[in-house]
Amino acid sequence: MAPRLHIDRASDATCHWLTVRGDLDHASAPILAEWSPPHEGPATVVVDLTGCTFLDSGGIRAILGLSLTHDLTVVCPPGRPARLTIDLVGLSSSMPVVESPAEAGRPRHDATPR
Amino acid sequence: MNPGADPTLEELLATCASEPIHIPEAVQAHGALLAVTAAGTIAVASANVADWFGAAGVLLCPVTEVLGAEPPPIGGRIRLEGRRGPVEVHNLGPAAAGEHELVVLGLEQATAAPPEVDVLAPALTALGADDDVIALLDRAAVAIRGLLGFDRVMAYRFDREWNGEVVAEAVDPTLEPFLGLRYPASDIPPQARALYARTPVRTIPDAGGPTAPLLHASPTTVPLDLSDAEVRAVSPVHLHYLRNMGVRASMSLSIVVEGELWGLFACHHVSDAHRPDPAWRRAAAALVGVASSRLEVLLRAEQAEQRAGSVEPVAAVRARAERGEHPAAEVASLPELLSMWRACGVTVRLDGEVASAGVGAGDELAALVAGRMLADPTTVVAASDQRAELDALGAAHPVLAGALAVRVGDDDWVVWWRPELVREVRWGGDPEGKEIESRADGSLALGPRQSFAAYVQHVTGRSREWDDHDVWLADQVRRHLGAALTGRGRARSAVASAVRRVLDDPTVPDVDLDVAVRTRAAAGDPAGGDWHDVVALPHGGTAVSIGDVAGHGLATAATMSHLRHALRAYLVADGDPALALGQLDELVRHLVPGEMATAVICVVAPDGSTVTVVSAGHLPPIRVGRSGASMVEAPREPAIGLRRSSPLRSTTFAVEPDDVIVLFTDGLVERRDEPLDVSLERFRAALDVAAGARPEELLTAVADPLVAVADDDATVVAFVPASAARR
Repeated sequence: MAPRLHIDRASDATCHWLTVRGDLDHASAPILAEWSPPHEGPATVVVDLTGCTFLDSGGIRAILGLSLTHDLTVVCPPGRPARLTIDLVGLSSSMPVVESPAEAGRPRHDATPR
Repeated sequence: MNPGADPTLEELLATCASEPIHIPEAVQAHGALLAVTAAGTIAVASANVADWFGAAGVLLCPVTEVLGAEPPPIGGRIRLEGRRGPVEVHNLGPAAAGEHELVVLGLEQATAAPPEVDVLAPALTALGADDDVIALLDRAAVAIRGLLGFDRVMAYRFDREWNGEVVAEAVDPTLEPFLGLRYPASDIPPQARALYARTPVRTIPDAGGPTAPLLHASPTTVPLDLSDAEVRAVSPVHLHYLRNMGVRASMSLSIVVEGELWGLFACHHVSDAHRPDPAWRRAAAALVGVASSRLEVLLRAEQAEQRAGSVEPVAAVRARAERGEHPAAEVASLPELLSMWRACGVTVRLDGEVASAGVGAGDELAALVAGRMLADPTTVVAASDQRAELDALGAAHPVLAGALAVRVGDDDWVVWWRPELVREVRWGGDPEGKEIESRADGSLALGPRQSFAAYVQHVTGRSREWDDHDVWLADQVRRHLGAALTGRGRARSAVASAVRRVLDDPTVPDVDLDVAVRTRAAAGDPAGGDWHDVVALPHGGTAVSIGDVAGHGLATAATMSHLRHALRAYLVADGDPALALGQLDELVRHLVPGEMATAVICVVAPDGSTVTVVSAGHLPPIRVGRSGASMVEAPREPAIGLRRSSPLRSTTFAVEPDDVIVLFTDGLVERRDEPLDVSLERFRAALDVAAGARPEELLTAVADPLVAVADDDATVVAFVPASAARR
């Protein structure tokens, strides 16, 4: 079966943003696991699972693997399909799991008082 | 034909293709014909024989009397002196004439002395010098023109659809060259092609010349089959065609390669009637025979070279399929898979996975096209170079116009794609320009084309044609991929059985527990990351565990085995499931960081009255009792391999004698199209309905259907805690 997964990659001064859409499962997890930063830059990576429609232990393992080499934050609001798996395996014991991109970093800088 | 209704062009083409050109009941008047009974009596004669031999009567006369000599044996020739000069008599052998069999003699006026072999020798020798097909045909055309003196000698090559293309030509310099022109297949209808293959030389010395009808001694005799008679009269349609073309005399020599009509040498004379002596024509035919043999050698060499060049790439395709974890993706990413076929895209389905490269119709349309092109189970390779066919298959595409599909296995295939290729084809006249003409009897018939002026056609809606080599290559890939997949299957099942021997650990202690298990690895994997275990504890209790190492394949199975044995050791050491899982977590984070497993352990008290549960990121156990099925809410702890700071927590609950505890992995229940909690609740509800059943019956009723359709590793364990007390 062809992986039904798309990962949008973006980088800013503070982090790399990996926005996951579709199924992050055993079959497609290598796409995430094999991600590496495009250039020298921030060591912080945000994986946004808001648009992830299916997450299994293979996907969790890929996220865990990335967390070994990067400072990783996971975004997933309550009620999203991936959130149940995240909570079940207790991913937040290993890395920050936040509910919105705003909490993950970028807009926080926008909100910095001038 | 009904004159009241206008026939369609298709009907007329069919009529033309069914014209019985082999029984014209006449010969061209430069020739004559006799058909003789076994007793030597003339049964059929062309009307001109009497004149040629000054005989008063011919029919029913002995043949020796008319000819003044014994006829030659079958296949043989003799030259006789006739009243109008020398006559060559050729015994064409027996032909059926109703219930009788007659021997047919073809006669022709000879015009010159037979050629010396010296005339032919230099040309024949020269034919061996060329190692290029076109150069060979060029040289042969020049030699034929030299021997026979025609204004024009062309070498035609037929394509797969029997259109002819002029690929070599020797022509009088005052005439317009026809080199490169094409002639549509309908110019030479199928029955005419069949005769070309059968009688390699055809001569029409004068398209406007007279014919001599056949006279039969018996009025009831059926028409004589003149297929083998070179002197047979020509179809009026063909004569009309030659006149329209401005050709007065013609001759054709078939080029037969490996028993198939490959092409023709077509000789035209425009200025006048032209009839080379039969012996000279035979010399030319001999030359064409040698040229055809040489052509066969060259074509074979060309093919062998082409095929030799594909050995390495095909081996590379096979190696990729044998080695890779995802053979479809490995194979599709090989650049040769496009370049060898000059394809713009390829879609590969192997071992159930689909992968593409280049520009193709997309995985789903490719599956549709492959399914339909290969719908007949006996079809192995199917090709189309017509956009309309792709449209009809439901795969309309703005770029693509051609597809080549090959069956690799039951459900595996490869489809190559080619884009539309707009071409200019120079026809020798508008190929559609057939003329419908009225015949004397009022019927309509198909006339030949009027115009032979070069006509340039823009061909659209088609891709480059898939040739024999493309199809052969596809078949090679089919065989090698098939072998690779079979090899993979064998290797997998050999490794799988070895792995299973390790995993089905015979050292499981003899625990007296009413327990039932179902387990299955993900489709395509020899073993999975799921485990289950039953361990007798030092203080008398029993631990039942289930777990799932994230990942697929053998490496994951190996990690699973490692973890299961480690967990067993920790449990046996001090019997505390929370401590054991904590130790397992440390082991994973230190020895195999990045690996992750979920697990749940149930420890049954020695008297079977309570169960203590510890869960690390795992789905909750379900307790099935008299009052129904409910999830056991154990404290949630992170999965093994994730960071943790505190010891794991456990919960202990009392069980009834009939309670069944069900442990399972996510592969059993999870479905892509619904949230996990919904799947979980459905499983609980199914167990609820089956409450009261013993473990084995419970799994048969509820778990078996789920295991059968699971697309990931799936394991389920059901046990009765109270049964441990009997121990």
